[in-house]
Amino acid sequence: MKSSLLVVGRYLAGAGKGGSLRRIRGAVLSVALSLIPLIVVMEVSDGMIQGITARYLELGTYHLQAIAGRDAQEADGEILSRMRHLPGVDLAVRERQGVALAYSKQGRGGVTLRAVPPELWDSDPGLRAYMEIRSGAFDLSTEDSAVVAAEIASRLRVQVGDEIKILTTRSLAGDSLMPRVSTFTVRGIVSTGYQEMDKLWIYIPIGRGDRIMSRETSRQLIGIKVQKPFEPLEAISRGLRGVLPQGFRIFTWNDLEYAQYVSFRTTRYLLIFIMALIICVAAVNIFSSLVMIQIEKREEIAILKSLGMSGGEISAIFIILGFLVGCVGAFLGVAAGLALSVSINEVIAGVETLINGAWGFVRGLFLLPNAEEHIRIFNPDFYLEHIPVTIKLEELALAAGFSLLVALFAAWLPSRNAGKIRPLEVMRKH
Amino acid sequence: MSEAVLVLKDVSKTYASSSEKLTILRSVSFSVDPGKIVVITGESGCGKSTLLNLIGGLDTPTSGSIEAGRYQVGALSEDGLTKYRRNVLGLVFQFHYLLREFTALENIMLPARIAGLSSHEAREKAEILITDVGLESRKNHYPTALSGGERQRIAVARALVNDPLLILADEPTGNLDEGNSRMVEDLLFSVVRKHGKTLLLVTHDSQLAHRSDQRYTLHGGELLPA
Repeated sequence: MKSSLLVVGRYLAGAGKGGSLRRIRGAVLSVALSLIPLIVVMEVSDGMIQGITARYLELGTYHLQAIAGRDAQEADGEILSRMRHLPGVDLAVRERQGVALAYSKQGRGGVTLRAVPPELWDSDPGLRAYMEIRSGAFDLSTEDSAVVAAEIASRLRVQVGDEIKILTTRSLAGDSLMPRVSTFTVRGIVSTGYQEMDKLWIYIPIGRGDRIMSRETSRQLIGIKVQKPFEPLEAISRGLRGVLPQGFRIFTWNDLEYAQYVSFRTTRYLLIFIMALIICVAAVNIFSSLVMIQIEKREEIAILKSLGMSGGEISAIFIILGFLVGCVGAFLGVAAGLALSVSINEVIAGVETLINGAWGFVRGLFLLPNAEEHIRIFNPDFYLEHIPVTIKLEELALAAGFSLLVALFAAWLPSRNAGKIRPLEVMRKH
Repeated sequence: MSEAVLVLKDVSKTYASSSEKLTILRSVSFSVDPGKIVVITGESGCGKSTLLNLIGGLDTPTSGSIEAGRYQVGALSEDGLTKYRRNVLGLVFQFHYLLREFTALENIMLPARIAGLSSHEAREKAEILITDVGLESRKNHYPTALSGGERQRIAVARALVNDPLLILADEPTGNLDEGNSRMVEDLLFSVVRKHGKTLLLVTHDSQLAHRSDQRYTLHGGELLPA
């Protein structure tokens, strides 16, 4: 083994006039380059999924929901207060949700009415962090207040101060429905950052909501937020069950957004799988580099064997080379991937600047009219303004280990062939 | 009489193709005592190198036995051959076969490192040998910076570094001009004698045979005393 290391050391030192070092450098570079997209996907996608999920949780789903059954008792202020005092719980608010038709003088559309406590904006930092107020304020202080999501406001063509009417229904005996029209004044126009939410939501005060939405055509829930929503929530769920009256069922955000979350995860795994395939392509590069080294070094291998080196020691030279290529390539790839991941927002901004600069140049060159829109790689209506990056060391180690394994596997066949070289055959040809 | 370093008994080598059989060596038998210099001469293509390859474990005989330093060479496994090459043999080829990534001194050290000697021990031995072959001042040069004669002198030193029982030299001056040939021959003989080694040398140069202790001629695949 010592002699194998000695020979590898000489190959790596690039002494004499051998071409091995150039080939080894090439193999290292291919491993490093193939690892960069994998690391970026792993680190950025996780942060992105968590960021997107967090936005859904803070604005819509809450971290947990206690949903009332048909015969559930009313959750009064004392129960909510006891829930808020449970360890790890930050917020517990009652909400009533139902579907309705909203209309103004200039437009109409189906909406989801969210009747929430007027003080929600002040008591929920998560809401404040993710909700953007486009105009007015999140003001539900009076019974006729409504806070309208941006897309609906656009559809109804209303602004702050305008009046809107909301048509809800109430079930009567014999399965018939009684329509009810309520008038509200727009106090604020808000955006969640997602078009699908902005197309649906209108916030009204909970007291008014209880009156205009019947129990039969709406659902009552208690929205709960905790300090660590991405950690296991079983213990908090148990605590909440102990406080809640009969007829309530607890759901975690994972239960409620399971399909979406699984979809994100599946996409992430698919991306990682594709990126891992790139590493396998890099393995072909390692394989071909080592095969070329083996062919170039046939004569030297024959000499080493005639000087007493065993087939195993000759094979070890190539395994060590594969190992080193894997190690150095993994180190460089992880380092470069991490650097790119942590600066992904700046990189995207830089690329956008370049694209816009180039597009501006082309426009100027061909005397095209100036474009109003700034070209964006990711539309923030659907993605995130700022991509959060979470570094997971165990995933980095896994990626580096995988590339190392692939490199060793790629080195295996050339090493086996090198170990079998018969000195006489090579020397006779010489 | 001391025990022979090398004993060949009825060694034959035949190469068979689909259409014919070509016998290169026929029942070659001889032995070499320790410390002797044996030269085998013969025309090109008469089987000298084949004979040396058989003794060196680089090829296997069709029949007969070769015993060198208590190793039955023809019957050795890969591991056995490795040990045999490490412990018994020093090889000098017609071409120097120095490794280009190693300096002159490191090339001499290499068989010792392969045999398991520490860097320090191998260096000590190599320093003595490179002085013996007169190339101390060139020890840190790579083979590409050495002349043909110098490379072959380094190859001679490399063959001696493991203190082998038997040195096999296959036309060691075959690639050199006359001046360099004489110098390498002189050096090979003097170094071998100085270190008390056993040398088996094959060459087409019959003049060289006169400097040996024992000489043979290979003709028609048969070994004859010269």
